[in-house]
Amino acid sequence: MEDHEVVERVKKGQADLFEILVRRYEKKLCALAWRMLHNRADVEDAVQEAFMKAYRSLKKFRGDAQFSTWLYRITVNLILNKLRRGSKLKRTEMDMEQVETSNNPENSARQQELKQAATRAINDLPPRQRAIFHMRYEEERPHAEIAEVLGLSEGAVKASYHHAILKLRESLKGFVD
Amino acid sequence: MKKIDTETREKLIAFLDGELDVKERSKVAKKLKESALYRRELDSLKQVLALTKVDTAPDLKPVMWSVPSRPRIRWWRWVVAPAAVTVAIIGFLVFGGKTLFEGAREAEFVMINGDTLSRDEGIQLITLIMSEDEELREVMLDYTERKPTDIYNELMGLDEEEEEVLIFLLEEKMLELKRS
Repeated sequence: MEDHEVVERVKKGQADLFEILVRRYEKKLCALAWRMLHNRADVEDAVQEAFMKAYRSLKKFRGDAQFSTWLYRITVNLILNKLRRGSKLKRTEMDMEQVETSNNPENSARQQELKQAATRAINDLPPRQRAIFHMRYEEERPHAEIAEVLGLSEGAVKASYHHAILKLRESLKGFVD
Repeated sequence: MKKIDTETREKLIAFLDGELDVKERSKVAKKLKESALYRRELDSLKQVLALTKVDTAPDLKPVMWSVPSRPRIRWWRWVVAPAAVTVAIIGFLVFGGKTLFEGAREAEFVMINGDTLSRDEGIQLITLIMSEDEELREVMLDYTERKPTDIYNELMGLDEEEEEVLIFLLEEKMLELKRS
């Protein structure tokens, strides 16, 4: 069942069907939230809360944009607000323990170092730029769609993406030839 | 040793990102054939991008989903606010010799920052603005470009945090209106 069909049915009273959308998008939202928060507990909270907001606001979703764009917008705004306020986050520190333990034990110390460096480099980007980088590079979303998610112009999205790469290059210069 | 300038680097990023049109793309491709410096730079950028791939989300627990109960729409609380409170806040919103609230009640429509709302919408908005919440001032600035009608349309179905953010904006707009 397509997203818009699920949305229409939920709006008409089949509330249980919303879970289809939850299962369809939870992994993607977690990946996005991870890029922005780098903390397991905060990511889980943010994604949970984003779905809750989406559900409660569903009646004002008119289908002008794709559901996924709208859902991303809710999620990114929610995370940006949380980061802005800081206090609502469980931990503002990066979950570096997770970065380490998620490594394959066979990986070399160099690879672990690299993974931590990459995580830090991404975390050093401003939050909105992290979101842009993730949506463009990882998800290959069109600039126009990212612009719609973030309420920016396409030009601003492109410029921000370029800056992100340049900053990452600077942060990771010790790891590239 | 020669270095790549910023403009060229930007061009290479755009090339990698697929942003260039056919003409620009073939120009860069030609340069890449001719220049080892260009190729090194492109490789370096590709390596950086590849490195970021290791930053992936861990396995997280699935979202615990159950249909939530209907949210409490707080703003109705202010619509039926006690008269004394209402009067106190109307006093605060004096505008053009009348309180804004009175003006709205008499008018066919209400204009806020050049945006037109129906009389009832205007009254509801003004009533909303009566709320006072210090925390709101710390939240949000993402909504600053929204028009009052958009805000009004969004009021239904908001959760508490979004509602707070919008109320903050309305308060700001009212202050702007007073100043003008």
